[in-house]
Amino acid sequence: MPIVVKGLSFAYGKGTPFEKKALDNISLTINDGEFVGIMGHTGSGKSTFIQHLNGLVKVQEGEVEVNGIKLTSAKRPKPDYKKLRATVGMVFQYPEYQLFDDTVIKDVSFGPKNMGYKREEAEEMARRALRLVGLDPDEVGEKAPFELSGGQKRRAAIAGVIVMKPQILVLDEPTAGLDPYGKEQILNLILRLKKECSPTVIVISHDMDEITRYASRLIVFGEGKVAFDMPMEQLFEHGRELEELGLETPTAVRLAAALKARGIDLGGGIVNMDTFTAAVLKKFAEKGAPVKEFSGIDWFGERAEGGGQGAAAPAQEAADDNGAADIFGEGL
Amino acid sequence: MTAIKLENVCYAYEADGDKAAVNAVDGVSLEIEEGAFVAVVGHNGSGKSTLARLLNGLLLPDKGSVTVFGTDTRDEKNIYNVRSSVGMVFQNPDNQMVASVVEDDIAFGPENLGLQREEIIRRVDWALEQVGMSEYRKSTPFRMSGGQKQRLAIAGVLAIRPKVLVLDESTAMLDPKGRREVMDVIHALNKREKMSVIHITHYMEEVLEADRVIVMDGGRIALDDAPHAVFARGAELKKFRLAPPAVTLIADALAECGADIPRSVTTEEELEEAICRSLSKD
Repeated sequence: MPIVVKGLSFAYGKGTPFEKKALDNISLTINDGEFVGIMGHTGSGKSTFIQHLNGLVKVQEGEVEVNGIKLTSAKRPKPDYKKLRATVGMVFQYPEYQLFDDTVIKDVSFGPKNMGYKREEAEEMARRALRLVGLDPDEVGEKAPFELSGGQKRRAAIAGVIVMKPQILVLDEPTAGLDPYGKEQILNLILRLKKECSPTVIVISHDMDEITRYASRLIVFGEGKVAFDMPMEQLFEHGRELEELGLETPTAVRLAAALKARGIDLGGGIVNMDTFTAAVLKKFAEKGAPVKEFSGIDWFGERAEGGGQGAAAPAQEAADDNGAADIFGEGL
Repeated sequence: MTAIKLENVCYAYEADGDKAAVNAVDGVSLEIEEGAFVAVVGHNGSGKSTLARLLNGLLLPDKGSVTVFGTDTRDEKNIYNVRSSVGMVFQNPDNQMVASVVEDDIAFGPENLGLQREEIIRRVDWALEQVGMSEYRKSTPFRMSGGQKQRLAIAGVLAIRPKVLVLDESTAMLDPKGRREVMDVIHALNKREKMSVIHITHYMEEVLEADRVIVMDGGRIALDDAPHAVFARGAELKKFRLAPPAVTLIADALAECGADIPRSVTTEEELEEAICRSLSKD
């Protein structure tokens, strides 16, 4: 079931001299199976928005409905927060700072234990979650989180969230502070999680070149409002307004505009470096140049299938794929 | 003149239980000229931050030596001179604020140096002007954007009047606008004040703006060259877990598929030109 937000407004320090409006009448729907990128400068309201999705901040005005669980400002009926938090998995910025237990397996099984699972069950769930994020539970399970490398720590922290099999996975700048290869690995992991565990993914990102390759939809926040929520191709026609919001258009879009000004029209549909490269190669082919088939930029040779609007355009397929594989072996 | 000189520097963090100590910096020799703008890149764990902390005596080398304007960092009597010459800015702006009012925060450094009140005021004025934050001197940092806070962190370091500025992933937690603000400030300091800048980053676009880039791998210097020359190495960068900037990625993919485009292109203008030229050929 989708996420439906209607007329959501929120202010910090309400009723004090420091009152600051963070969200201003937000209405939007996020459907099952979408990969949504959320963008906006610091203070645009995007973090406040995602915190509403699993009840970390209480609704002041308007309404949020997640998988049928309704959140409003009314005190009663009390929403089922336990169910809500099992539905929406939240991975915060630098999630590795939140690892706290003395072994990885204890840390990852903390969630299910808290939800009432017995220790053995919870640890079995933790082992599956670790495998899913690409860590070997036999190798890292008994280690202290501090013994892991930076990238491993981040994976372990993500395992602690997906261990509850959330239908919706929300990640706040999941690649911040990682080297280029680490970034690629985390993005590929998110694609894998989308396919095998959490069919709806919402990612906050600042990197246009990156997010346009993975997301099927972008929502741009500005001054507490939804500034843009439209197909990417149309969005990037608003280059100047994006700039005013502190965002850039992707490199590929700027290049396509520059080429058009010089008489080379690559046509529509250019939203990222894959679609741009494919369009340029088509021009070369039309000129009779012997160019090879192009299947998307894959610098490290590890890119997972099913991301963004690539040359092979697997995005729609991925977006329609709601049947998450049963990696937990117990039916979803 | 040489600002900082490293000779065969090794540093290992203390061994932890059954794990043997590994050199985080392993035999690095390096000279940084006064007024240079040097980017340092490398994967997580390659030794970049350890290297940064060796530059102003936060860490002292196990082997080899680090000299800052002729002073060895192991010379205890002169360590404060070393720290005044080389200012450090870290990743998280929130961890670098000590006071609740901007001017008090900036004054913290010069106060600790025991300077006269008039001189402190002069330095606070100057430092805030350098980072374009003069109008905020009576404000509180806690409600500011990440970019503004990080510029204040830089101002706090500038008030000590360093000759070298070391930024350890100081743009990592900022949004694109905040990153641009910080980059503009450090480039201006480099040009106007002839300040040497050592900028550690994962953003390849920022690397392109440097005069020189040092690639770290396994605690050693793997490459040390102009940015253009480093990115021209193409696939070799993969072994250092690096990817070139978006423009170079596109050029590389076009060349890979047989289009007549040089792989080492690093700017949008160059790529645009190369595509136009190649498509207009018969």
